[in-house]
Amino acid sequence: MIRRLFVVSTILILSSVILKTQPLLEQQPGYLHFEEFALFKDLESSMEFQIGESLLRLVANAAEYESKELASVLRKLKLIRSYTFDLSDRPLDVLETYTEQFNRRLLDDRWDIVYRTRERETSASIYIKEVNEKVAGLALLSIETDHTVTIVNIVGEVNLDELSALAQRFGFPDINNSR
Amino acid sequence: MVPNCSHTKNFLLNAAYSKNLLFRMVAFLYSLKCAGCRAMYIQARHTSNLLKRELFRECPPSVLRTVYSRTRPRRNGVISRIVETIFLHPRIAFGSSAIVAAVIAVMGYYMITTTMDGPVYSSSEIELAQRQIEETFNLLVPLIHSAELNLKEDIIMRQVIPPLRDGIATTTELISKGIRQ
Repeated sequence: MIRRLFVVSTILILSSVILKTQPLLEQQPGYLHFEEFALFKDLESSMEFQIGESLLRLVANAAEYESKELASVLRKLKLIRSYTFDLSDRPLDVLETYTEQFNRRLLDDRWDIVYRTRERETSASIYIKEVNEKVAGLALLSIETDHTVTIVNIVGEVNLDELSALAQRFGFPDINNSR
Repeated sequence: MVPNCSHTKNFLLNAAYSKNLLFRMVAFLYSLKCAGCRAMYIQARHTSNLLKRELFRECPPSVLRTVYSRTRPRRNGVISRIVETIFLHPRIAFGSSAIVAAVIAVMGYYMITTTMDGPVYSSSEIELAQRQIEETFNLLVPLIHSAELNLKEDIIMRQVIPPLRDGIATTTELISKGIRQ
């Protein structure tokens, strides 16, 4: 009896150690530490939100009835965070410098750029972080005509095909045609 | 009794006091050959069981510990020695079982609280999250879709069609040369 208890407690201790050693959200490869970038250090976001894994699951459950594809996409995610900065007081060339610095920093951190569009006063870039041939995170930098900068970071397994299929399913406009 | 009686007797007695179940079964089957052997074997088994019970009941724990420590199978592993030392002494065994019980209680509490005390969201918070996710996807999904379309278009138009066209042209030229010759 005591031996059995000994074995059970050992298993419990080991499992708790394994649970404790799981990486924190900030240590996940898909987490973008953009707050550490010099260009964002002194900036205050005009709007921001973070949706964690538990809330994502709840939303996925709610979305299950309407769209199984969307629910499937959401269930694989660990975190969605979005930050919007109002940079209307900054001239366009400063914003371009910001974009370039952001781009360089992400490429240095082994993020891959999958989409980039640049027009007169707007631009958007999408970066992905791959681990073992799977996308572990996605980052989006968008600059609008009113110099609003939006950064979106999605942590978790992002399937680009599934996301693209959502565009067809919900009829999102094709960005090339709309601009 | 069966012939060669002294050998049979020794064999049956050894088996009756043995811990080996297979050995005892063989001896029992062998004893079925005659009523005398069977009676002797059953008596020996009875005595063996009685001795075991009485020995463990009557013997003081210190003697049992000594017997166990002298007769136990030797293991070289450090962990097995620690475990044996723990279980040889009642006080240490009691202390370690108390520690184990405490660890199980703490771990159970930890596991239950971590699973039960998750964040509780109101319906308005879930609705807000839905809207925020929708906004994010409204921004992101068209870009990804268009990136995929661009990629496909780029691969097909620039990397697949031109070499295919060149290949067809070369083949046609070769065929036409062959026909002329």
